[in-house]
Amino acid sequence: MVPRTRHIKIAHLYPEAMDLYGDSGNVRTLVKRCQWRGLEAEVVEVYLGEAADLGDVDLIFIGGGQDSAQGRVARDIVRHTSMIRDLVDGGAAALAICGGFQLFGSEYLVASGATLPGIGVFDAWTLADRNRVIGEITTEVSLQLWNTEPAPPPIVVVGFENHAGRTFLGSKESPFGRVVHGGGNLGDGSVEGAVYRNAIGTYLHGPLLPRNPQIADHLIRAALTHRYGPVGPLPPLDDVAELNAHSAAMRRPARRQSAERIAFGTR
Amino acid sequence: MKAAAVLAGKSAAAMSRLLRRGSGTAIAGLVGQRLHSDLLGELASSLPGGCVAISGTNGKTTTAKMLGDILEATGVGVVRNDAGSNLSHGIASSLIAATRLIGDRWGELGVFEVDEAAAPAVCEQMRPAVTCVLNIFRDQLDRYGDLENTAALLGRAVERGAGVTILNADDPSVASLSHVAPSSVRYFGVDTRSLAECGAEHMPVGQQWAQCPNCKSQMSFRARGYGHLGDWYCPLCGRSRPTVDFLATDVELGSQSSAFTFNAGDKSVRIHLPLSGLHNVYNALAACATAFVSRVSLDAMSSSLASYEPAFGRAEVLDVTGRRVVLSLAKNPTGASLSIASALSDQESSAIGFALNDNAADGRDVSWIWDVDFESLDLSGKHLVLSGSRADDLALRLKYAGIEERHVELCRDPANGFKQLARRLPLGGSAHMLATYTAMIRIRRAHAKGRDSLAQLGRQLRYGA
Repeated sequence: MVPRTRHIKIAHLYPEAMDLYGDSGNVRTLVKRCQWRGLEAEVVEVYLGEAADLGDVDLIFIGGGQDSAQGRVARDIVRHTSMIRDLVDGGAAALAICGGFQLFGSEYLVASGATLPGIGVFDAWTLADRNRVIGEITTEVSLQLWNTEPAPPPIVVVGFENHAGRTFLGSKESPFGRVVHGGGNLGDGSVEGAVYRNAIGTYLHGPLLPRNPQIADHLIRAALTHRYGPVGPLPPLDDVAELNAHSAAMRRPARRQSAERIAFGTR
Repeated sequence: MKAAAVLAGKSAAAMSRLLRRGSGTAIAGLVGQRLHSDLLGELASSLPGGCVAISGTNGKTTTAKMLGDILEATGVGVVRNDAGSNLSHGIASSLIAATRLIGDRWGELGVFEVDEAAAPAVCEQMRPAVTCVLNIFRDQLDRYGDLENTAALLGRAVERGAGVTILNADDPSVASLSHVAPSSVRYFGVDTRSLAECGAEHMPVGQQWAQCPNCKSQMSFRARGYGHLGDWYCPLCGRSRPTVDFLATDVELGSQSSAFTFNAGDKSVRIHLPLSGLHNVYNALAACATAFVSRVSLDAMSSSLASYEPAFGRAEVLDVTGRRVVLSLAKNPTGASLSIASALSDQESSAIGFALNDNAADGRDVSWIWDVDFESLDLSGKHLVLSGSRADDLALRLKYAGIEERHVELCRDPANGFKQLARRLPLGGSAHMLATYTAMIRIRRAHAKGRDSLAQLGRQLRYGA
């Protein structure tokens, strides 16, 4: 008997409203990296105001959006709150970027003084600040599948951050990464993002996954585990292009400082 | 005080050129405005015809050059910032350079492209007689924040206008700026039939979602040009494209040219443009609408645009030892997608170059390349040369778009990328190259240098020097 192709189901939440910085590149990356390994990846897109069945989803993705879009999404996502939280509690993978990360927290106090309720996947709340944190960011991340194995050695993650929100984590919540260079949740260079079970919330775009393929593979493995139970490591792929782009991003902050010194004539 | 500030600005520019510190395009304004803070306003108000301010995320340079050329051809003395220096200092510099310290006739009308972020302050001082807003696409979000922020900036600029406001009816967020316009508003747009016919060719860019500027719900289109430009309406709140005053009809898009009929009231004229793409039709339409408001005859528009020569780095044709390379600035998803679509419609072109830098002037955030819909653009069979400080990010983007590596060549320096691209071409062959701002400057410098040394070599051979 021919073994059935393994597959995962990805829910892309609000692509029409939450797709500001090439975020859809993350979904493209997940799908391609599944295909290259002979895995099937089905993507369902969930739109504002439209019916959606998230019942057998293994991986949830939500990107960042503009403030007004985020308000509309905050009102709409309430319909899916319990389903998303049940999925994540059951070990489904999730990746929430920037505005999506804020929505996956408990609440967001926007600039107008109003409060946007979040869905509470993460014990984190966000306060809008007047100054945006903008720039390259490098963090150190330990990727551990929930409930399965000891923590592997940390990896270096690169991205670009651009956020007015300052996100405060609850006392028991783990950050996604430790900031090596850049701002992070509070813009103070301490910690970045949040992790709960197999759900990741982060401010890193760029997009995040193609330049950090280990995170993509971590999410795929979590999704497979969610569907089929424990699975071994995924077969490796040729990641030369991914690693080159990763190194190119790593080179930037250092080079930029020296370039700025030259511009001001203090060679 | 004004004269002293102008003199100081002029001296600074001369010094800067003398010391070869730069081309002196911004320094004059910097020095002049430091000495006299309202210098821009005073110089602008001494122009008898007043000023035209052109802003928007895409097409400013081309539209401003088209308008300046049209006006100059009718004998109007135009002061403009064609060096692409579109911040306050750059505009003040152009005015300073045009000012004569003795005598008073020095120009009749100012035509300036204005950066979106600089627009509120510039328009506050300049009080433009005509303010023209082209479009609002995603552009350098690391500088401007999000799209709504860009719209708010342009709204504040429009508010400061002292005369006519000309808006793109086909861009919902631009058309909505009419609510803040202090005086009369005129709209330009492309007719529904042409949009439907030409839009198909541009649909690779049509993936973006559009929201109603009024109720923020998802918008619909009777016909769509590219991106969120088209004959739009909101099914929920009922807002729709306003009635168009300056309409482009019978649009024809060729591989290296385009044509349309410009209609203004009961007058019309056929415009032939040596540039391809619906985006350039929009640029020419905006230039014609603005020229019409400035009382230029329709025939003058058509004859000037027929012989239009591109502004630097905007579909500029460079000759590299008998090979033709079309160089286009590309710094946001829409611009890049349109330039790629132009490259693909040019049947003579066999290779495409991309140069992606991430300096401040380029936009430090390169994530926008993931919003270019490479998946829908058929690049198969084209040789691709990737360069710039983030060439590796381009290579990765293309990998995930399923483009085979054997067609892709990689190098760091944009100037080398340009050379490699030309080297790939047979004599008489042609290629397109897209570059971010600093990469484009680097390529043009290297090209000019190469041409000089080639000319020198030619002279040496001929005269045996």
